[in-house]
Amino acid sequence: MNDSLMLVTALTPYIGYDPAASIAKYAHKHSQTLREAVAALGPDKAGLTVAQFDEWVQPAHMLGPDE
Amino acid sequence: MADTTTRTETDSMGGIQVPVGAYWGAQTQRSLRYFDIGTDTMPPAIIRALGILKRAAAETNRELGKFVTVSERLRLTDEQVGTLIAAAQEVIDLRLNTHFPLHIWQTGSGTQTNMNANEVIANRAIEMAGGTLGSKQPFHPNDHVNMSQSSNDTFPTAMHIAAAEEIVHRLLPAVRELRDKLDARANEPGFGDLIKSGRTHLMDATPITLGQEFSGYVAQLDQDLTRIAGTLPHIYELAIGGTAVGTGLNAPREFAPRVAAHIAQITGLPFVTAPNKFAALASHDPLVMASGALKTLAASLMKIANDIRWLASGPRAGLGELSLPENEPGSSIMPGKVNPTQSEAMTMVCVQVIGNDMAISFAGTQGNFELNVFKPVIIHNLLLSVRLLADTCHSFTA
Repeated sequence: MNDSLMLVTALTPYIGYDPAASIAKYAHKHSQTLREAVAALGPDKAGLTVAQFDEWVQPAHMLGPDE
Repeated sequence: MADTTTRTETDSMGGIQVPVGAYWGAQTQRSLRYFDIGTDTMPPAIIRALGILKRAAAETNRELGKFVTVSERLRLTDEQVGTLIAAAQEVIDLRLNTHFPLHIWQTGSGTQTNMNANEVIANRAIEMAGGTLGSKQPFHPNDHVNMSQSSNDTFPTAMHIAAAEEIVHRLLPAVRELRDKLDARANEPGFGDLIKSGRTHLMDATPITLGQEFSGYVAQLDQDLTRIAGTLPHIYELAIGGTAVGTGLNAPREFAPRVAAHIAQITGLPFVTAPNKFAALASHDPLVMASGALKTLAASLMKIANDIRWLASGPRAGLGELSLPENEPGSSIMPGKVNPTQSEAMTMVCVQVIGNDMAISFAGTQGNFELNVFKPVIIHNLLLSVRLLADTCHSFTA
């Protein structure tokens, strides 16, 4: 599940569609997970920290609307 | 040297040249390049429906505070949201139709047409605010116009809005008009009370009045009106709020019911949120059912139009029981010939509608897991059937 690049959808409300797409493309190109891509890009280029990634991207929290 | 006929638009794939006069952006331009297939483009009813949806979504996101709670970079003021809504209103009013150039034969989810709407509304709003087209500042097609939405819930929603508006405002009145005209003739002294030979197996049978024969046509159309109206309740159920796969990810919990209420308010039709969004994305059973009702109307009209042209056959060597209006010359070689052309147009429409129903039925079987990706072909054929049936009923009545 954590290999899915489409988990990146959870980031769009926080960082916007275009930066989120850049992370997904980077991860795909470098055969990385999204988390690895965020770590490799660093907070300035990725638009978020790994800690924020861990907080915002959780499959179990992606099963319904925002509360 | 700078090209003055195009400007650069960008998306996640990079930059692409777009004609300067166009409000659309990079994704629409890519679709034009890669999907130059056929001559059928998205019908105005779908473009209007997307405008209605985008306005309703902006109003709902504003109510729920979404434009304020997003990251600071993406924040919009109430006044800016008002500009977004004004741009969507221009789409609703069909003033931006030339900016929707995409073909039916594109992605099966309709994503490119949803993005076409997002791009046009964003750029028109940017222009209203005095900004630069293509800058995505302050209005972004995905982050703002598409906020709390996915193509996977917006396009099926637009399909239902377009189908309902066209059925309610165009088709049902036209069928009623024809039904009432046939009913008036059935009860007309000197017409309805004419006694003639009934026919079964094409052969002489016991007597019948012309009024009795016509009352059968009226009853068929009454049933058709009931059948078609009976498909509307499920068409009034909207997918919006399901987002990408039906779970509602990235939309507030209150978004789905509220946006449906806004759409109901804008259209004056009783739209509600679909009780199950997974079915609303992955199947199009309500539209398959509606097409079935349209096909049944086609079956009725085929019988009626055929009877009428046979009864009017002649004038010297046919049944000659009816005389039809002589509207136009019927032959380029045979002087004075007049033909039952309204019946011919109507029966051809019926053949097309039955063919459309086959395409819609097959497309409706083709959902995979969380999405049916035969959406444009379904709505293209459904709206074509509605339009042709309405127009032929009106033309036959006139």
